Amino acid sequence: MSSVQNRFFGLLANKIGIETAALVPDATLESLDLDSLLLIELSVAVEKEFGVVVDETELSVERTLGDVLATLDEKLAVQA
Amino acid sequence: MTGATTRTTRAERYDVAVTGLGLLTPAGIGVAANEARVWSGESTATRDEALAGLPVDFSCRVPDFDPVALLGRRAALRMDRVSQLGVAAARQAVADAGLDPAAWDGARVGVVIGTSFGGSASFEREYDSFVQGGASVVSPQLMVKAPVNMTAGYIAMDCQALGPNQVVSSACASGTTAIGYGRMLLESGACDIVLAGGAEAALTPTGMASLYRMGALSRRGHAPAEASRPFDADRDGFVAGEGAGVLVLERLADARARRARVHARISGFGASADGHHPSAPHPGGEGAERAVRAALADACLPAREVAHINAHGTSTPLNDVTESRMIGRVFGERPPAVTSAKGVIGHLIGAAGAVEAAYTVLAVARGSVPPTANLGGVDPEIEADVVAKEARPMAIGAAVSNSFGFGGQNAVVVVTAA
Repeated sequence: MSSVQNRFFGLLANKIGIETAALVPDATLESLDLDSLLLIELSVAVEKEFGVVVDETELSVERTLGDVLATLDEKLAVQA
Repeated sequence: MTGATTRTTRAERYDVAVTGLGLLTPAGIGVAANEARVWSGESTATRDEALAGLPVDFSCRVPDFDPVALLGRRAALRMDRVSQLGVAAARQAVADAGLDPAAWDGARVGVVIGTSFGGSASFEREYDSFVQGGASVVSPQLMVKAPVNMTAGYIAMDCQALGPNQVVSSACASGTTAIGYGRMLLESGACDIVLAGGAEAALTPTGMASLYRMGALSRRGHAPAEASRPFDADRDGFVAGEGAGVLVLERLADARARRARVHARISGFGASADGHHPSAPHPGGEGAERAVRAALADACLPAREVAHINAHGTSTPLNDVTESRMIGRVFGERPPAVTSAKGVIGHLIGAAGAVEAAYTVLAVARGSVPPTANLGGVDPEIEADVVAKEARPMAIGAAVSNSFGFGGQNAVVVVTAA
């Protein structure tokens, strides 16, 4: 597991309250019961943790955690 | 001495049964922990790390409160501490009443919660974030944490109480006001069950600094456990606390029909406004007296039959003298045994009235008045029979719980034996 994934899953567990066992790359945001408020909260948490903006359009409910991680990796690569 | 009162059957028609109690207070989590600590008369005030560096750095917090363990991580993260405490107290109360939310008709279950500051601690935290990082770092969840109504809303979500749902706010009288308004929902027929109570969790640096600067708080920082001393000659202010108390109320006939255990009854409610000053009580205690007399009239109960008063008893120089004189005027014929739980748990602000009403219910049910902590020598200006040092066993047919708030808002409930 990459350190980015570790940190991202850590945010989901500690800031959004998702049980660790549910954090797998195939899980969609919808399946994790993330509503619009929590998605904005996640966006804020990601910006604070990684210094990049993953906005709400990139956090639509049908996307999986793996999809979001790929977006995050791309943005971090651009930033680097 | 018997606990019987002379109230008529007609008066009793308007009594509501207290069938469940839930308490999370500085005295502990659950009714048993609260009974043990409050009846022991041992203060809970202690140094508070979160207030380090402030002129007043001690308080009364709920010990060992783990919201994640009690409510689950997701629910705990969504709520301000005030709602975490309120929801946990409501769960306790419902379980104590032997009710199952999966089986009840939620549309007939109401919630009335008193709070003064609501989720202001969350607001204070997010304001810090805003100042440091601007709008983009402010949590969108602030708006489902901070507003005062949310505690009642979260209780409804948690236990599917789908009837009338609201928060009432009358400062330090809020919890008592909630019980009075909850009883009205039963009397009017709008609800069959009401979860009524209070919650507060506002021990924030800004709030505490303001309370300190207005001179309301005890400055006995060298000995926090001796700081809250209602009616004592050496009292110098209150100790701020946090917590929640919820009572399950039902019409007496309904409680009997389902063979519920009835702890005691809420038989009267009275409320008034001083119309005098933002923080000081009316010097003659006139507003408080109107509330007490209204509550007795509502209960059809003569003052002489009240055996016990759970006083507002804040431990401020002004309140305790004014309140004791008012008690003398109303109950002088036969002075009741007075106590103030604030010596043990501090002042729970918007939760105080609900928690203290719960203690009054327990006092009536147990036949025992808990002692007022730290009462070494009663202020010579106070002429009241204040229970000190140890609990006083006695039959209690009827008791009164007083709450008086900033803004001059007063609320009083009458509790009678089951």
